[in-house]
Amino acid sequence: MSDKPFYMTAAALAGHGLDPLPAPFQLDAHLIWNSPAALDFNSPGAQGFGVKRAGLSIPGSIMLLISPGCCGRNTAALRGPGHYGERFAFYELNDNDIVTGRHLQRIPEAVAAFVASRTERPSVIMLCLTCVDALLGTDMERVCRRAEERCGLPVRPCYMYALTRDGSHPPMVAVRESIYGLLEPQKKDPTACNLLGYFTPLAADCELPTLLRQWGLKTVRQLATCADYAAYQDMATANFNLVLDSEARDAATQMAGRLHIPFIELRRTYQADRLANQYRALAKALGVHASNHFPFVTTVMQDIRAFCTQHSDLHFAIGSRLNANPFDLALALVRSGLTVEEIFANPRADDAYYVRQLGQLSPDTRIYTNLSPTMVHYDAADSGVTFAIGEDACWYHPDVPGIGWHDEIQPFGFAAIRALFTAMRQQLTPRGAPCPASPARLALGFAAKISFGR
Amino acid sequence: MKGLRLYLAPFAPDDSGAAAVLYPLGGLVVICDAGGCAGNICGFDEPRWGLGDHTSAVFSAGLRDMDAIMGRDDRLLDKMARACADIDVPFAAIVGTPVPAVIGTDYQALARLGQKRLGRPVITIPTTGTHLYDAGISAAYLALLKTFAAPAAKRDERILGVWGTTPLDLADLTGDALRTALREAYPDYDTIRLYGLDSDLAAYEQAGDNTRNIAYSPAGLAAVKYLQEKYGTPYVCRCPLTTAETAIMDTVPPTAQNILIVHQQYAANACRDYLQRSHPQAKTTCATWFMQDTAQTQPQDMQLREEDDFIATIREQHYDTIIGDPALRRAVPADVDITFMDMPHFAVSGET
Repeated sequence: MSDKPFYMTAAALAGHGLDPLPAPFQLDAHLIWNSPAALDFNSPGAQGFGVKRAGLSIPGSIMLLISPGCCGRNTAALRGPGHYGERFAFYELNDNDIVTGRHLQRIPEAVAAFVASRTERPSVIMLCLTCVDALLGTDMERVCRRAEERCGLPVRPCYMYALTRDGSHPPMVAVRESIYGLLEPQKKDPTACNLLGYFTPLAADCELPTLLRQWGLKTVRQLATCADYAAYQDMATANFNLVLDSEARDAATQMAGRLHIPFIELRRTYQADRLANQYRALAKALGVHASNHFPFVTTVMQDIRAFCTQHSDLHFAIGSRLNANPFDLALALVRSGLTVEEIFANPRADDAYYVRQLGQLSPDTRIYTNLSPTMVHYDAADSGVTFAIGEDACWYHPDVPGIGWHDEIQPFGFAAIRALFTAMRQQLTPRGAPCPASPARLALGFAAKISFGR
Repeated sequence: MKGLRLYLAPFAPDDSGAAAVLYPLGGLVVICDAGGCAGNICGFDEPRWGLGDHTSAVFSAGLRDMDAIMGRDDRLLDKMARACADIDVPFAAIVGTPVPAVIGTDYQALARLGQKRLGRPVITIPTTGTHLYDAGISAAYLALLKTFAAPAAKRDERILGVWGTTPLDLADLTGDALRTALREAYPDYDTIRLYGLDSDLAAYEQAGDNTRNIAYSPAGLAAVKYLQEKYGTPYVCRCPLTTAETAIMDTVPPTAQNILIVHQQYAANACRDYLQRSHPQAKTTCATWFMQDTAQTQPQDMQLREEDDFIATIREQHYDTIIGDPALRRAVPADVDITFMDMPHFAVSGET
């Protein structure tokens, strides 16, 4: 019996490759340890956005959860900020419903009663289905049509099928298709675009919307900032979509086919040079003449260098419950000259580049999987970690400074890099002492200095 | 409408109840699900988990669609065997959820095969996620007692076994307040075992030694009846009120005439007993969403099934005071003039 948690060094994992993944990293090869560090793997709705909250992203929408009681139980936790809990109702399935499927006949009546109970008429009703209906093979599109006829409002399915999580069409991909599937074709506005991927807004200081406006786009829409259903429908006027999270790729593909809105994908990266390259490529794709030099790259790089000089002795642990790809973030820190001791994450096939790079630049970095049963043996005392990033990494290392970096407001771009280093600096500054001056902070509003021309 | 809940989120399900009993025992607890049910248990219904008390390793079976469609129980046992090779556990438990319920998993076979494969006791709790927490607690207690309880040994020690004391029914997770109340009510007992809170596996093995058992909530009734039949241990059904709970009762308006108490049945009955002393003029009705022990009911008492039942009884019975979990406030019609007094019940709101 081993008393050590499973891990692989970056060098070993790079040598093995990610296709196929080593067995302990394969999700279907072992039990999933339900540690606090793994909570949002098993229950994404418990913290952050799961299907339930995501399905309510459309302004004015309400959701009827059709399931056994256990599936709706933790919805009570959504009564807090955002008042999501008040937009839910539940149709509890009992054993007879599951055996006979009789609940399907009664859903239109339940939807009508739900709508009638509201003081304001909702814009759309989402029907959330769970593993039970996945196994029963319920034709939910048909049920939705019958409910639409009954209540005269759009009714759409949200598939919370945890059984399909590792499949080609996991729930968080499907829910985005449901959400954007309600958009109706509209006349195109060549100066409008959408940012797809997140259910909460980009950080206010993110330079991306500003860049886009400087490149001639007058309207940059995000789902989370649509004030009402009409504003949401205006997303159909976009000339193109920018996909910021790969889970929105299928929805974007669907929009390209149905609404003739093409899309471009950008990755959230904490590597300043790669980010600059992405922006250059985006400018090129948009036919914009952009300078090769992004002035703010210099200030961000200065900021990073200042941090690394001051805190070169830090040893990082990076988790996966954070607003970043943990492998990208690890690589960014390593390339900056910092030491990454541990990563708690399950690599995916498209992380191969990062793993290869880490294998070369930081071969001894240990990569753990949060989900392995062997993680019950994890002991922080065995590591030299002195700073943790990510909710899960902070849980493993409660005695070192760290940042959760898991806020709902989404960091992106150079602003995200700057905010990350600022947050870390604040944690490392003795309480009460002023935070060291940050070159990037001094350059607030840098995006306004950029000059791009068409 | 039957099944429809417009105001009340679902209450704690049976799989959460079963997991709550198993949690302090240090076994390999496997929630037989795709992930969401395990997340619900640990992320919501098991407050000890969030407090950093990880005496049990709770796992999700990580079922995927093809596992369910093909009924690949062997893969589940493979996974459990691998986990047992890494973690030293005295037993393993499989807790059912809607997925195995739908595909008709043979839990008895799974337990037998598991026992052979893992070389240690394997218990299965055939919960379905469609029933309530108390059914899961009952089933878990019985499974544990049938597997582990040994013939009673003669002891000089007087032991009080208290059943139904999981965090789903207790407001105080330390159990200190309940112990204080129990020591006052039963001063001649040397040891108090709170099953579901801090009793370990040995307490189940030695459950036959208990001098007396108490069913703290109807969730514990099946266990105390089993122990009476098996070992002749006497039992009572009683929920001693803590000082925090009597403090709530003390704030019931003196003018209250028609009071509705909504809680687990024995707690509601205890509140009624208390109020009958302080408010002898009041008519008091006890209602519960959960198991109802017919031996402990009065004619006016009721078991609530549907949200509509709750709303209808408020309208029809003209209560002037309701004592219950604050989550129930949402279902009280706005046009009804009523005093609502909060008495939290974790199994209802998930809050203490």
